Amino acid sequence: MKDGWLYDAIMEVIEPELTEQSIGTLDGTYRSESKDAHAKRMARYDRAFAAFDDVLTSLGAGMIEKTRAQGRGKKAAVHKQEEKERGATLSKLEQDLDSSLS
Amino acid sequence: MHSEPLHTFGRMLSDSLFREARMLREVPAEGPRNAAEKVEAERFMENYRKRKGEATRVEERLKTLREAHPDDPELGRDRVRGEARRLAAERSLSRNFSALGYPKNLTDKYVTNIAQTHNIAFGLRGSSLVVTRAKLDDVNSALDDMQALTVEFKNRGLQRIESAYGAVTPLNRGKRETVTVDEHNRQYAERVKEAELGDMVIKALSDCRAHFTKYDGTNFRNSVNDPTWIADNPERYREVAMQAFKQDPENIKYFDETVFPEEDLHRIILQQLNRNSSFILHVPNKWRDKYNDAYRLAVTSYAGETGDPALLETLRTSDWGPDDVGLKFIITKIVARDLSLLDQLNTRCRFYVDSEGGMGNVVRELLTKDEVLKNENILDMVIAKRMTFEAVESADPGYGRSTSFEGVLEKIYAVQPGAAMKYLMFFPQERLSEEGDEEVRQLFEKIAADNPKVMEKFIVDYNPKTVLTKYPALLRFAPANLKNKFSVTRELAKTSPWALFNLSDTLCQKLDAPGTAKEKEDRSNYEKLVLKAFEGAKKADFETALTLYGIQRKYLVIHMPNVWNTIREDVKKAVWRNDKAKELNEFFEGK
Repeated sequence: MKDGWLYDAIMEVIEPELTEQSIGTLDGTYRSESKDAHAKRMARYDRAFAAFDDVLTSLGAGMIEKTRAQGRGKKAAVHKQEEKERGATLSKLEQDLDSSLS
Repeated sequence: MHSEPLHTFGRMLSDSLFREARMLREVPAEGPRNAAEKVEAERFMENYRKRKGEATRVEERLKTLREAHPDDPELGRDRVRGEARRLAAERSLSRNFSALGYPKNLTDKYVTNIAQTHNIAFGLRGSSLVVTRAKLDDVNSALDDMQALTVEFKNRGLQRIESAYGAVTPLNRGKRETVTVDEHNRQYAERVKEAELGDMVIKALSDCRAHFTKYDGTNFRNSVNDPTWIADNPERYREVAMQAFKQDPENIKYFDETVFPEEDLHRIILQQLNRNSSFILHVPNKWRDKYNDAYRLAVTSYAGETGDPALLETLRTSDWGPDDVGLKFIITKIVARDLSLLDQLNTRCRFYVDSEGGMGNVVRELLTKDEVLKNENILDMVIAKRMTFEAVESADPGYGRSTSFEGVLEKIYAVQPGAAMKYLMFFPQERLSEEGDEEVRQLFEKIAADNPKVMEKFIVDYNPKTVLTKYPALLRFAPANLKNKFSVTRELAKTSPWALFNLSDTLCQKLDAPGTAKEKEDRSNYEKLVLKAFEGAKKADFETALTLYGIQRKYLVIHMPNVWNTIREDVKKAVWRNDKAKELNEFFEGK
């Protein structure tokens, strides 16, 4: 996939006419369009751009959240492991101490 | 409609915008007609550029995240693309339905409900309803449901038509509700719209099902080349992949691990390995690190069961070290099954053969097997390829004599004495001056004493000069027809002064008391040869020559005083040059 793929991936679902490839053909497609039809179409495009914004925001937030969650998971695993190791060491030290005092 | 376009995007765009967008194919000659159109076109392009730029920034952030988390499949492009499409479909749903004139309550009722009930997502692409993120079963059940509902809508709609011409019929007979004709018609129109919507949903579901069923187990491999489809239908992809896997486990090499969760892959591989260890031949190399223990176990088990030579190819990329017991076991099993493969190990298992001790482990193991020892061709191959000596010597020295070089040699000798001696000829020259040399020498002498005929034949067949150069003591086992020992001696003098001195003990015992003129001449000739050998050794390696004096001093003093006196002069001259010579001189002079 070349750079710029994300825009088209989203837009081809929301409004195929606004994908990078299709947007250049609008001129020919709507050459005989009436004013009313044109206004409606532009309104549709506005809604499509707004929908695009929603999707992109959700996508970015989702990605970051996923990554953070993964990081949190890894961190927790390391903490757990360290705790386990330290716990074993401390327990051994305590045992040694007890036996040396008794 | 206008006879000519009032405005188009192309006409509205300024030249600079036009170039920047790089998308309109035709540049209208007249340009934007008026300021309002131009402003609208610029606003449109601004909207486009803004979204394009934001999408690119998210892509870059994704790239950075991917670099930071290379193992996270969630950040793969196809995965993100699928997620983007899913979100887009969901977000566009309500907007586009209202744009098509469907009241929100209908959308909620017939589309959203269906989506929620059947765990599928709907969206509109242009004016087409599409379904994403669903399992085939869910699509099928939703389709059944919608078809039933639509039929019902249509039937109820027809009732309204009939009733519209007669008395007002309650919409709900149970409630005996009375409605006006207008209201009746409005409800009818709504029913028709409901039915249209139902048809749209049904069509979308049908299209979705067709999309889902584009691949199945039989054409699974084609789906691998269709990443868009995989990204759109990850669950269906997994279903298809598993169908294909059941048909032929080899298909696992086509699995897309970015779609299969790691634990699923692990489980599949382990289950299959437990079922059939030959499956290991199909596990892609890229996954072996992850399943290393299971992989090793399976390879070992499979090799033990079958000795399948196909494993040699699999092992080529293995990360097993040469000292790995499992690897030795596997290769030994394979080669023992088909000894001709020994010849191929060099090329097919280069990683292993080149490793220190690697081949030695295998060869040593093989050389303890009677079927190998009895096969002279195999032994010849082993010897000719020199796979044996250094390798066996370097392999697991802790095993002790029973599996050491000498131990292996004894075993070979017990089965094929001639082969054992050929094998011995590869004993490295540098070892002759070490402790091990004595063991080998003893072994050779033992062989000769046990079986002089074999030794005699070996000396003749192998090449007397080569054998005697390396082991001069064997001259006494040379056959009777090799009587002209002086010719051998002359050859030795040219090639190996060391060997010549070793020979002297044998020869000069015979020549100590020359009686006949011939014997006197022989002795004279021999003395000349010894001196010549000394001169050769001195030129080649003065250290060696001096060492020879030390070793042979008693013999020379007693048996060849003339030679000794000559050499001693040289030693004296060498004193100032060499500590070793000084030591020797002191020793000889009795200091």
